[in-house]
Amino acid sequence: MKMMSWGDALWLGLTARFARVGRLRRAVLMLAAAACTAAAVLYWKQQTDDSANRPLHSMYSGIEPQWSWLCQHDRCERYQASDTTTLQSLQTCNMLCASTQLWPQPTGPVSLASAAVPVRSDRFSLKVIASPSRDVTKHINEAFIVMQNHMRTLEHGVVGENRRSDIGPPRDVLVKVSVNGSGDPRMRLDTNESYKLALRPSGNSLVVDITAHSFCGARHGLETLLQVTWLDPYAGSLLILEAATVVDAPRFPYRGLLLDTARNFFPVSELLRTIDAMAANKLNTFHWHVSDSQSFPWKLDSAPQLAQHGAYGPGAVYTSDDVRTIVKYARIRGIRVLMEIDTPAHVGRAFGWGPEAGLGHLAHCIEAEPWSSYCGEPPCGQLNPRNPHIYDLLEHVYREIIQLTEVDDIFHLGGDEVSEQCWAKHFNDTDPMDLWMEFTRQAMHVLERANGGKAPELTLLWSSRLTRSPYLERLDPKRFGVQVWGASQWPESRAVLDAGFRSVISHVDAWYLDCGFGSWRDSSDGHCGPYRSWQQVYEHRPWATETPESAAWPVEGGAACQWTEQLGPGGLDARVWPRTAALAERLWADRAEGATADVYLRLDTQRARLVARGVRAAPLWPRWCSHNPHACL
Amino acid sequence: MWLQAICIYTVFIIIGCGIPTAAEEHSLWRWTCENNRCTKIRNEPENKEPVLSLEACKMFCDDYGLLWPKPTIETNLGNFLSKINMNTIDIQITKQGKSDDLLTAAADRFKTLVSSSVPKGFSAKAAGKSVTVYLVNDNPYIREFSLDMDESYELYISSTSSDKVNATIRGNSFFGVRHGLETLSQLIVYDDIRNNLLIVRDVTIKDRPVYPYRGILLDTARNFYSIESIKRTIDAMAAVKLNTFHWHITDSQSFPLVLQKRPNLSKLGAYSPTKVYTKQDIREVVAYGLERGVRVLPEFDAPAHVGEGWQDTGLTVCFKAEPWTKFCVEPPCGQLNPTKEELYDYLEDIYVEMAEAFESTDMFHMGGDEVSERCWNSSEEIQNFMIQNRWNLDKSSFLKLWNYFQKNAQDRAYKAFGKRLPLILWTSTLTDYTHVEKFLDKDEYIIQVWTTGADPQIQGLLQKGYRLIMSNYDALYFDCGFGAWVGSGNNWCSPYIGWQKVYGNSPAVMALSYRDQILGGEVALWSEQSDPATLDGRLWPRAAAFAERMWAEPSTAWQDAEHRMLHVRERLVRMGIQAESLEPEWCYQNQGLCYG
Repeated sequence: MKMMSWGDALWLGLTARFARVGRLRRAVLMLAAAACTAAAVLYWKQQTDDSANRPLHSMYSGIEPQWSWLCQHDRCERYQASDTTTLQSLQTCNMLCASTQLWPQPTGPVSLASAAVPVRSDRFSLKVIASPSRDVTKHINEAFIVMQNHMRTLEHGVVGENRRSDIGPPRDVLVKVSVNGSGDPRMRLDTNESYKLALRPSGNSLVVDITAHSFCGARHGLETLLQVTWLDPYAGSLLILEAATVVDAPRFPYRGLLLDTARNFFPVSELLRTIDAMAANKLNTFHWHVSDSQSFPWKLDSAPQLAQHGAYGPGAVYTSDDVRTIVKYARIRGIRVLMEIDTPAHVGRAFGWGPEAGLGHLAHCIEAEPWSSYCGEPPCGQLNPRNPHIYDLLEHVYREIIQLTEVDDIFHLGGDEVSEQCWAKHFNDTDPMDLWMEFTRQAMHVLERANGGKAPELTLLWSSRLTRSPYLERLDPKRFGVQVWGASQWPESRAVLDAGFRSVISHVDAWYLDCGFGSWRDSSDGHCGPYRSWQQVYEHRPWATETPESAAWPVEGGAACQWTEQLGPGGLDARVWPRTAALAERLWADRAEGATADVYLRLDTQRARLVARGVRAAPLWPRWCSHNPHACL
Repeated sequence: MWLQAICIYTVFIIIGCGIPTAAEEHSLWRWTCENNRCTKIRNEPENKEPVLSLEACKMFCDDYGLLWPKPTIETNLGNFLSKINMNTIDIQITKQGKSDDLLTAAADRFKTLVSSSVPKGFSAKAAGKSVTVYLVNDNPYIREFSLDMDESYELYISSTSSDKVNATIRGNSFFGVRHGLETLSQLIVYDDIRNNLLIVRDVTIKDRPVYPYRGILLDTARNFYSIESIKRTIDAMAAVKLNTFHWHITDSQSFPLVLQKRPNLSKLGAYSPTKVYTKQDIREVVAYGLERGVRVLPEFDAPAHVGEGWQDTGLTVCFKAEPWTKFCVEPPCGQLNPTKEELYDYLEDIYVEMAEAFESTDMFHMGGDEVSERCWNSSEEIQNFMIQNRWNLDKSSFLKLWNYFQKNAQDRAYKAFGKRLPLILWTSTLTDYTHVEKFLDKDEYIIQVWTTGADPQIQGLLQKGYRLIMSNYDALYFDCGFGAWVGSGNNWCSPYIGWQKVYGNSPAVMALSYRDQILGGEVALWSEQSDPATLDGRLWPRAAAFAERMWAEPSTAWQDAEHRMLHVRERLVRMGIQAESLEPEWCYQNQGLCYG
């Protein structure tokens, strides 16, 4: 190897160097900047006295690091520590070498210093410079504490007090946040999520300016700040880039993850961890598919019978307090909770108590056999569209959803996979499609009532026969949007967009995370295999097709779908992460490139961040590939 | 059907007319056994029938109750469930010998299993009959693993309805008695309607495994696993009577094994100084395995699949060679240089320390897969060696070179272990049945088959008298079905293998008349895309499906096992294993309604 001499580095270091996003920072500049300042803790000259060059390595309980990573030709190359004059951890090399290591990649100009300084979580302080409301100020304060807690978690990786002394004292970091815009801290359809972050040295401390037009934007800025802070295991300290500017805004306003808690139950703690991981990736919509025909775990205050009859058991229930906890937790993380009670199909035993309560049949075909005649998977069940009590019940449900989640500009009605045979069996006087259309109209009507007499700006339906011609024409694109789950190549998946319906993309062929695990009812390969790799998730850009129409498609964004027929709490993290992180960058940055080498490396770093946050994300590859970046590419 | 009628009636007597108060009876649902399946029905207030919890119902609604793997000789589950107090379980070891400490450990584990049969969020009442378990070990001096060890046992539970339940387990070795305790723990179910533990009474079970080798391979080189996660895996193995943890400890990507004589191998080869296994760590795992009837089998894969760690030895060729596709199947490449005399001293040192660490193993796995001629051929030194030996540089000569390596390595292994223990090799060009006998003696080597179950090599090798362990990748490679980590698309052995296929993978069908030469099988978790975060979900509950195939070699298909399988998954979760979910919980609660 050819190491740069210390003098060269020092000379080069006289100039401050930044790089724009999309271009790789030059390795020499990194070395240079690191050397130019006493604060550059990561390099030091080989001493003649060997013992002076043997610092404590807190992560290693007395064992010295074996490897040093140096940025050579824009890559972190691994060397035996004894062969190099400098000792640098992989984490620090990654952060200072060519790649930005931010995830999702910011969309505006980015400049990042190539030197780092030590910091400590308790040396960060917050000053809210401008805020349009007390509510926003309160949220900024709480989001700041969340960020600080994550830093503290990282610090817990450092054992004992043997933090290296020669890296200098930790800097004070003053985080100044200005929000000029909406006084509403909620994630709304019209929320401006853009932010600017400027981090610079100021005397002996650092100052961070985060400016945004909403709380959610400011929060994203804090998330980015967290990403330029990392634990250096060799230094036994947190490090932060010495300077950075990031200008950033998402490409799509709706960036979601669906979790189905009905096929199998997931405790609240699992949901919270998932939401925190979403925040780490700047996703903004937790689509909670709370109920289905298999179970109804949510105990509503206004209709407790649903969970009483529909939950798997007393240990598999979400209370209203649980929902509030989840909503509050998500709110501070810039995430809306979109609760979906799927109707008129995908219901079950939860609606079986109508006759005994004197309300008649609220649903038909509950657990009807043979199931394949009346639904897509067992058990069957479909609401009774002719029973007026069902609409009263739905109004209660919708009202409680809106009250608890405080999401009133967007709503999900469900509406997928209605079985015409089921209704045809009970109503031979009417075309089931007309019943379905009428049900949807009435559901919309009670939704308006539940929402204070006003329709939400965007009411989503799953794509279905109802969203195909000739029925699509009977839906009003000003009121309804469509979550398109059909395969990207299906004509009806495009037709919805061509017809101008605001859409959330969840194409089964790219963004269904449950696919590829065989069938749960027989030994076939399953209905939607194979597995969608993270690369496939990442590279899916249906709006970038060649057709002239696609340029005008009203795509709101997308969501990955984690259906849970074959997933329980134990497997959740590894199934969802890091693949949903890949989706997050697609929807935030929508870079034209596919899964290039830089994407592998940044995603690998992001996976490590998730693991540090307590998320059991699956590894991308053997750790060897992380240790030898580019060797596996 | 009359038997079931009686069963329901008697269950009614024992728990329905028993102590429960009205408040406890207030469950919205109950289960009833109809047509061999448990049906979930409303528990109407005017109901006069016995109120059965799901687990109690399942225990009587299947010939094998909730047992997994199912016993092979005789299974006779009585018609009574008795409420027991888990605080008054007494275990008596009636015959003394040098395996007593193991039995004591197994007894402790049994008590832990009983307490973990209570689902999370529930707590069992400390009321009910006391239980005395008598353990009769007819050969209390045996504590060594071997391919012909006797794992059979008999289990009896008394039929009297006094205030005490007696259980007796009799076996020909610690290993058998221990299995009996696992079975006994599966005869205890939780009644979540009344919050009681119940045990089946009047039981006779006679049981022994069909195959002596029932393993799981874990690759700790592509990604590192903590000792704790390995122990957790062994716990789950013991619960389904698997008996071999095959530790693929090193590979080209990393060398986490700490050796006192050759410290540089892990110093340079481990991912970090903390991601290592010391002799102490391994002995801890070995002891943990022994108490659970699980042998910990070491593999040192050679001459290919080496790399990291060997940097400074000068004993490898083509390490990190590029483009890697030319010299190996995944990066980084690396192969030992068989022409170096010093190599064999290295190997001997490795083997010696492995023999010391893996104290209880009765076999040794020497790897031997995926050797690349091209890699060896890229070395001038090797070419010269071959020319000196008057070999060509063709395929058959490289086999001779490989054989030269294997013979030398074999001698060192025997020396290191101090005995001519059975050696295992992966199928490869060396083990091709058309010439295998030229290189490997069938009495010395066991072949582990990783090609497909339809590979003619299987019959070929069997006809030549070789003993086989089946790990055919099309059913037993649990890393399959995920995205490719190099290149595009999904990984090479996709799709994912569902538990149904695992269950159906019968060595007997592959072996036909040579069934006696099949020692058993092994599932493999290669870890390119797995680490402790994914471990449990990748292995479980699929490895349980494999366990029943290995233990019982059932003539029936997965459909007959489905509901016991769903329950074993629940059991694993209660033990703290993050097993994947196979179906919506609805299917677990509504037996027979989730058909294809």
